[in-house]
Amino acid sequence: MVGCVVAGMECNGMECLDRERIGLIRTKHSEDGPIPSRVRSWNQVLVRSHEVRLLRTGSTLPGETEETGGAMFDLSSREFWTVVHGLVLGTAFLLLFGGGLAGLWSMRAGHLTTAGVQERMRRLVVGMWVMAAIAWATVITGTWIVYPWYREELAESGANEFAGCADAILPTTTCSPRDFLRSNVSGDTASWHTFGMEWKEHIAWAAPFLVTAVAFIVAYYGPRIIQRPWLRTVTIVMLVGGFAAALVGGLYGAFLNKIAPIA
Amino acid sequence: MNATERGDRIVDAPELEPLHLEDRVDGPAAAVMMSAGIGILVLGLLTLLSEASVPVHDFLEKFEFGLGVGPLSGKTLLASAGFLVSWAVLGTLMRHQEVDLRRWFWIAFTLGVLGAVLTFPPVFQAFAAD
Repeated sequence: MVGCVVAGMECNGMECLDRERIGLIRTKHSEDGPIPSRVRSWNQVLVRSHEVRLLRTGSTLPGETEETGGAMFDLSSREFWTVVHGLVLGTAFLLLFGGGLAGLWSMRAGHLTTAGVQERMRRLVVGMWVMAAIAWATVITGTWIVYPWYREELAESGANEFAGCADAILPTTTCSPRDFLRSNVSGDTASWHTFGMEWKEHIAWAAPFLVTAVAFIVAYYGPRIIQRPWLRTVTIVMLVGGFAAALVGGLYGAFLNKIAPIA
Repeated sequence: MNATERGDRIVDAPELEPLHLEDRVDGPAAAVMMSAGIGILVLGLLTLLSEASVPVHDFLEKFEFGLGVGPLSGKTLLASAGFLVSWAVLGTLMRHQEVDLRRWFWIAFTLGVLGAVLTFPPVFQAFAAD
């Protein structure tokens, strides 16, 4: 799934490996300071995604010129989908929530002209349906594209399920993000999976249900919702509920991708 | 029985008069509220059952179609089906009905809260099978 943009590198399924560059990274690290004590082998250093990124973003290494450096905007397909799922769709959802909440809040009798009601209602209906579509797209990409990479079973058959995580400082080709967190090899990380991921992966699915219901109610009643303060209030409650569910998913997703990145 | 007779306050909105809007029955709104509650409850129940029962866990895992999603595939597909199918059925049955929207909302709210609680890890993990 991973494409190696830097010329001469080979892909083994999760990251790019190149013996010549291992040597360059080794030299770079020697110049930058002592190797972290937990790092037992240079292969572990190499799989640290930010170090691979160091090469890709043009930070020149000894003996390397700008012309021979890596591509500026290299992105593996895993990184791409993680960004689409969490950042692109998540940000759009957040923006639409702010607009939708403000729009619903303003639907009060005496606050708008007839023309203002018509204009705002059109925008609110479209915005709510787009928000619902984005909520569905977010949970579908998260569950069916990104999540399988998170929970890959990479241990060899018959081996200890965390054998591939020994001495890891980040997930590797032999240690999926889930196994990395559960193994506690890099601090007390298991609860990020047992609580954070377990909550996020389930509750986030409440968001599309609730936001779709809100979109339908807004479209069905249209401007009539102005005359029904109670209905407007419960519609806002449902919208906030959907947002809260998405917020749990988004916050834990951001933290998890920092601690155990999918790359 | 209209919304006012049920105690749902209708406020005057002179700005809507030029639009000549016809009244709408509350049945379709009640249907979608209830469907959202049902969807979340199905999600919560399957989360709990997947944790408590190995056969249920294995059954839910069959929905992953080889993509490595695990039992989450079955939980989310069945919960989505619960939402969409119940919306289609209730929406059809109630499309011309005037209903007590407050009662339907509170029932749906209770189902939704119960489902959300069941997706909270300390709750469903308390029922984990050995």
